[in-house]
Amino acid sequence: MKAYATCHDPFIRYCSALAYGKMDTEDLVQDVLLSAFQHFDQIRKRGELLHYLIRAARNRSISKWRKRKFQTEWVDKHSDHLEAKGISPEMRLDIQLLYRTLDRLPDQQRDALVLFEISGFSMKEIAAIQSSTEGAIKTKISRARKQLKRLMAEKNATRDMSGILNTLQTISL
Amino acid sequence: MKPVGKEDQLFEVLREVPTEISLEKVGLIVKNLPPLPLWKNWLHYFNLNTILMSAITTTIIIASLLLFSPKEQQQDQSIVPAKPMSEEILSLSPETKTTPRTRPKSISPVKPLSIRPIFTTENRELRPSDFSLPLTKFVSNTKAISPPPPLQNDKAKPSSVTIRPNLMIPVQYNCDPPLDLTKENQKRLKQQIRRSLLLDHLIFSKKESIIIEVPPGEIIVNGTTLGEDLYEKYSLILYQDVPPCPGRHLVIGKEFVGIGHFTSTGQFKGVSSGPLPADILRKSLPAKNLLDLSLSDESSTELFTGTDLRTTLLSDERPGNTTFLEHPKSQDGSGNAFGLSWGEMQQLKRKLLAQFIKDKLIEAKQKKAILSYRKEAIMVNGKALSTTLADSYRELLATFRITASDSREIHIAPQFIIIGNFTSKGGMTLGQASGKDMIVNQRKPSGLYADDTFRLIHAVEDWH
Repeated sequence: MKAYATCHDPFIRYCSALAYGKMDTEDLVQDVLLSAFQHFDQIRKRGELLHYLIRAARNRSISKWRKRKFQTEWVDKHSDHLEAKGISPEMRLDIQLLYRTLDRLPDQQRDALVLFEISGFSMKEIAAIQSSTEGAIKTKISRARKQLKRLMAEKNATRDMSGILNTLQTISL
Repeated sequence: MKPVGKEDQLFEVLREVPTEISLEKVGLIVKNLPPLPLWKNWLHYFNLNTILMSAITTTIIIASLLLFSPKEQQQDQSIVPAKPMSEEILSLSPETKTTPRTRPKSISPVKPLSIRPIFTTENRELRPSDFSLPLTKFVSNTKAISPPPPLQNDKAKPSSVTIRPNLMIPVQYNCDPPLDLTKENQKRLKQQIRRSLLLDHLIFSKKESIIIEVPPGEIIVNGTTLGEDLYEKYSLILYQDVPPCPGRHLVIGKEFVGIGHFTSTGQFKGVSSGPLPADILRKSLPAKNLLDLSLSDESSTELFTGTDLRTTLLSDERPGNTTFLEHPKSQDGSGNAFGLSWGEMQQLKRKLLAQFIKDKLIEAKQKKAILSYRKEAIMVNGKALSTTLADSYRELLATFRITASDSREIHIAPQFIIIGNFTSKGGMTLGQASGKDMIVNQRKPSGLYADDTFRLIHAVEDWH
């Protein structure tokens, strides 16, 4: 647990991001921890534990919940959790939109962006986790940002239009 | 300053919001993780592949051990309860009061040559024999046998009984000249043997010639020694008509049956019936058990020869009656049919070949030739020579003491020369040969009869 304590925060945030709207975060964490426990002897350096956990979480999410669409029950559950932490409803809606948009990004770009922005890893650490170079990670994150911004703008426009239509429908009724 | 976008704000919120699962909760999860079973540490070295490979290897090893383990003990055990024949014979003696102490395993195999006759049949008598092998009377299972003399001691144990190794089956043998086969018996024997051999894939065609050797305790079909199972089967079929005897052969052709010995001097002794087809000679010569004929070395050797009876048989035009018996002594008593030495044979060959080429009867030395040396005419490869030419050949042959005869021929090929008397049915009754490759190698056809045209070109109309 001592080795784990330092990894806890970024690991859970990453798991939350992976699981948002799709699965129970606790299930994913439990799976990954069990796997780490079974292969603990093979993790030579304690510093590699975090990398192992991140990679395991990613692989598990791919193998078990690949192509799974957002499900209302999980979205609600995660939204409730954010509500409990004092996040406003509008912000929760934006977070939901953010996760949905993230889901549309290429896997590698999304992972790099989540690890950098949400888990708070440095470029170097992400490069180590993804077995890549720092430059490549920088590029991935940059591209992911641009893509995310574009997709978010589209979504917002659509949402504004649907809001106007809803308002007009209410007035006409 | 770079403006902060909405996404950045959201990321910041997500980065700062407390984690969904607290460290304490993770601690609880870890505590509740199922402990690793102890065997997990070493069991992971084994997988399905390892287990399968080990199982297959073990099975193969055990199967090999079982397959190649000696079966003698098993067979002994299975046969011992049955009353062995030797014991049966011993118990027939009314005079002996001793209980036979012998057990099958105590009977040691006896060499055929050391056999003493101790049993006689009721209706047979010993004939004067010219066999080189000692005679032993054959005791047929179907015939009544006289009581054997009482056994005095252990040394007097049955000496006429040979134990076949691994089988503990007593094999009796009889080297008397075989009885004349009736036509019915011949037909039955031929059909029965042919059918059985075909079924057992020992021959592949009904027309195929068969040579069976029947030494005691063994049956050799076309040079192949039969295994135990087949031996038992064929001993039942054969031994009634062809009693086992060292060197005895049963020869079966399309219409031919012969039972007899090939002696080391190139004689065939026995009885036969039916026209001897040429392929019998071809087949018989390369058989391993006939190598004592020494046809393939460079020495001068006799071929099959006949006796005085031969003359009668040759003059007897009844088809299908060819009998080989002993041949008369050669002119010089040397054992060679024409009394020619190896050097003389080679010299004759060279001179004849040179003469053939000179007279344009053959194109080259490598060609084959048959010279038919009859009193009235001489023919070379079916072509009758003119009187002048024939006289020159007569002179040449006379220098080698070769006289004319109705059935006399000289066969010449690059590797050999044969001088002999040939029957109209294709057999050779008297002859002398020198050279090599006279026999047909079945794998690599060569030699005298490899090329059928070699004989077909001969003028004898009913050669085949």
